[in-house]
Amino acid sequence: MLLTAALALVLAAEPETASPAPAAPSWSFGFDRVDLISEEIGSFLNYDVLEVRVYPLKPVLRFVEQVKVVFRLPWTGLYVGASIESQSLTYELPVGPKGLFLTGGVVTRLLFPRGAIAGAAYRVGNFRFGLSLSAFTSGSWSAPGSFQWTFFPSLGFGLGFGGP
Amino acid sequence: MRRALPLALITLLSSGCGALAPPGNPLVVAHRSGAGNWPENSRTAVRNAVAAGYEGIEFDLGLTKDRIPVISHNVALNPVLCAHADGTPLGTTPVYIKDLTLQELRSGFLCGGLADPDNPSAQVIADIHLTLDELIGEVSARPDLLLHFDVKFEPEKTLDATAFADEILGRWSAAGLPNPWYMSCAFPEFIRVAADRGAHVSYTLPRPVPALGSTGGAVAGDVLGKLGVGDFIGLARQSGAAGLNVAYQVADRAVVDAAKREGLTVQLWTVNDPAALDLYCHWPIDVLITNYPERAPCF
Repeated sequence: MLLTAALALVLAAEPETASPAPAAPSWSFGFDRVDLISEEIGSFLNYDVLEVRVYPLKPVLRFVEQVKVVFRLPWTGLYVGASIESQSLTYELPVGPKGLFLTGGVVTRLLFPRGAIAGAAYRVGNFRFGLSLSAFTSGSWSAPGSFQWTFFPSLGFGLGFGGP
Repeated sequence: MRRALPLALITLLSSGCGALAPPGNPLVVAHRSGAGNWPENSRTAVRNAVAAGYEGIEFDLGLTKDRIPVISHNVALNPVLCAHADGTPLGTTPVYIKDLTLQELRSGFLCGGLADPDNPSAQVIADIHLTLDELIGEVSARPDLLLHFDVKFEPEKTLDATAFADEILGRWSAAGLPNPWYMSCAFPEFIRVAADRGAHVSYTLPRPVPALGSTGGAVAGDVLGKLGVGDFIGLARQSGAAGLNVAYQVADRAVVDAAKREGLTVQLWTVNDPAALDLYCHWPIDVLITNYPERAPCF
């Protein structure tokens, strides 16, 4: 809740008051960021966090499971990320000079194809904020025939350590 | 407007779609026939649960050496709740039900006469073990009562899975009661045998991992589930189970939603805290298992 409230304040602020994002950074392969809140899947904010008052250990574990490490691939705009919960390949298309991107990607579960996300991201300084629609199935290597779809709006919050 | 839209979106998202979901309507089932109020799995508990108008009861089934199904939670007598018939403590050596005939079990041991530290408000009444046949007699006046047979088969610590299935299903079928019922078990060996005989069996999760303890096993199971190599729907499908009987501590709401859409039944155990009961009453589950049905807002 605190995180999303902080995110709301940032998004509601005038873009001009935010730190200017690099207009055309040179691209290099390597570490990009850690998503403390991953917008893939999205069940942590949609469901798990609601259980914090009845069994806090579970949301804590689910939080850890969804923390994602993201790397830039050698191709501009392409990223690969991995958490316990999901692994993904995503693309970010810049749509303005102020750090705004359209995003899309495919999501796997231990590399089992699972779903996709689409949305937008905003990068400012070392922070990345995401807002996406996540669509994923219940399929897995142990239940490859399970194709129950779930759709979640989801938020992302990533922390980087310097741009490319 | 420029500021209001993102604020509205964030507020909606931070509240979680779970908060906006339509309320569930689970049946509330008394864990161990009402362990919060009476000695667990006892004749007293079954009688009072029936009289209290509970929607359902869950009880545990072991099998004696002479293949009589008896109501007991553990494969060995619980030294905290049971004692020798003369009142002396059981000691540290496990007393396995599979090693006792019904007569030996009843003449040598009493349960329920010791205060239950996990359920301090439960009455303390010593009694002999109830058999499945006797339980059937107790519930025959309530044809609407949902019966949850939690089968305590465990490889190497009990008689084999076929013996459990033959004796429990044979006796239940012979009784001819109209009550709705289902079974649960933590071991796929029994699930397969019982499912082959037409029983609706739920897979009890998390799977016990003695080396990791209950919390360690739950964490390991959760991680494996997220990775998709031990997820609950997959485990149920592979074992032939028709449902999931899940501890609330490891239940994943998104998995529950998917399992329901996949046609699996879902039972959630064992929720006793009023705030937790309020939360899980809104989940789209079939059964909510609690020591205190009267505390559940959906009862």
